[in-house]
Amino acid sequence: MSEPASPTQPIPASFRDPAGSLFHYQGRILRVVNAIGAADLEAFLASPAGRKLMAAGAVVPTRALNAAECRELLADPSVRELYDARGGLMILEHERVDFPSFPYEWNAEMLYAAGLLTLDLAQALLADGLGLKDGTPYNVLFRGPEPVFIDVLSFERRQPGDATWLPYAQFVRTFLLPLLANQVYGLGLDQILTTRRDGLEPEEVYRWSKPWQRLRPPFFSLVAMPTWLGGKHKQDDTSIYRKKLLSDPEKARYILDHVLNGLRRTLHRLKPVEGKSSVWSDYMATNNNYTTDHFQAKQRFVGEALAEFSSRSVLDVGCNTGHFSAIAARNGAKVVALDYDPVVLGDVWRNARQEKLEILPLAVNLTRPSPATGWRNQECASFLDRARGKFDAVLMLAVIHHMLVTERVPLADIIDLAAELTTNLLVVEFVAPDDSMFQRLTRGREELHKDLTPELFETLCRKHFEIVRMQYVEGTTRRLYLLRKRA
Amino acid sequence: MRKPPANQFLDIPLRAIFLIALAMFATEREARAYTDPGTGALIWQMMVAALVGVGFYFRRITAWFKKRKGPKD
Repeated sequence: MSEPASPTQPIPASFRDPAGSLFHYQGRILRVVNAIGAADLEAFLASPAGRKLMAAGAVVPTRALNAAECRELLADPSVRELYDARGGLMILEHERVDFPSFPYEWNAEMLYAAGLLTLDLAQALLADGLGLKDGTPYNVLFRGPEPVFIDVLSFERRQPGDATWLPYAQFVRTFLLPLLANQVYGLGLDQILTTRRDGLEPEEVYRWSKPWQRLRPPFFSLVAMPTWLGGKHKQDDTSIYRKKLLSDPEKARYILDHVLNGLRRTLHRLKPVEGKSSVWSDYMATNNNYTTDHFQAKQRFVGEALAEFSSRSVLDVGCNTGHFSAIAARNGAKVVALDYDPVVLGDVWRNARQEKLEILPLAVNLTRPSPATGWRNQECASFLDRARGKFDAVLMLAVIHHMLVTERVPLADIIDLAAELTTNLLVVEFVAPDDSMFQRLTRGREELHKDLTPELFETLCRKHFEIVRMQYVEGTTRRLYLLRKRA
Repeated sequence: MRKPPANQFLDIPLRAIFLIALAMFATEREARAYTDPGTGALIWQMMVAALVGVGFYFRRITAWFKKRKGPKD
């Protein structure tokens, strides 16, 4: 027999941090902090800026557990073991972020927002003599469309005469250069960041850039100068890394403000533009096969299903403009909205933020979901490991035929996966092979799907689900199903 | 959210660096393979800091002159 799982589950994402370790404990997110991190952390928790940032939700609300709470936790041998192994001095509790996501799943708008939050924090903390040790998007998660800074061990006390912002280069590599490559070369953040933990090096972008580009902002300061200066620098000369303190703290602060404002201006220049178009951006308007009446009937079907079963957490697969995600969110659900087109997701993110809807848009293709990445493939869990069983309703509207035809995933496998993702409902649209959209996708491969009938679909669904109700939409080629998972 | 601040006179040192760099590009060579990616950006930040530091004193001097002149009554 296998041993029961320990109640203490270390979160591998924090394994690099010398100052402490994160772990799950009975549904709580706790962090052991050791002697390296304790003093900086206490300075942050006690600072007016720190308290203000946590109250505003910019930094994840965090509190140090008191002696009695620590004693109680340390009575559990698994917590005691972790605490002692990491040289623990204190234990923190963080507010939970529902669905962790990683920069390679974000759209450009979200990376921009995370960058802006990082600079906001760096500047807000300066007044209290605090700063950031690092400047990477991995310090940020999203709650719905809103970024939240989660790594409280990134804060440090700054020396008053220190005019250098040490995370400058990392901020450039992980925020500014990926945004630049996205804007200028059309590279997706998944293409840039899935295999690169530390973003793009200036030298890499330098090789891609044209000579005339290198002289223009922001290439000049982000790409050309660092490449050129780095190339000229003697590699054995480490003197530039030594900390230099100015005798006049006011001057140091003045310089630091200018450096951070400069980054802010560059970030603003790289802000993703609204109203971009892609193959999918006008899909709802031009390619949908519905008349207004039928579309309204579809909205009603979905809205009523979610309301009837009071769904609290919803996964919308192939969300496109996020129309149905918004219906779910307005019903009070927290929604994760997937689409593989980051351009349409940019609009979903903007709308969610404007309407204050709890929608987290992620650029994930469910037929090729984000893999587990990082050291031992454990630093960042795969999309499916984070998503399995996390949703009480899954929406698959006008998407199954794309998975069947374009991605060539067999129907039984699609339904099996849906049953792994949802704990209760599946709202799914069946599109028959004689549907005009289906035929447009097959491009002469009709033979492959000749056995696909509503009867087969229902049989496969019954393996995991009971059919609560079915409704035809737009003639007889499309059917909406409300399915409920068998106990 | 904070708006990006307007380009103040940081623009002037940046333009100076730009002109110097134009001259430097005449002797440009390929980046070495093992260059520390943080090195160039760090030196660049220091160069900008040095010029902004000059601006800091310049601001102090102009502030001192303004104070000496005093406001017109």
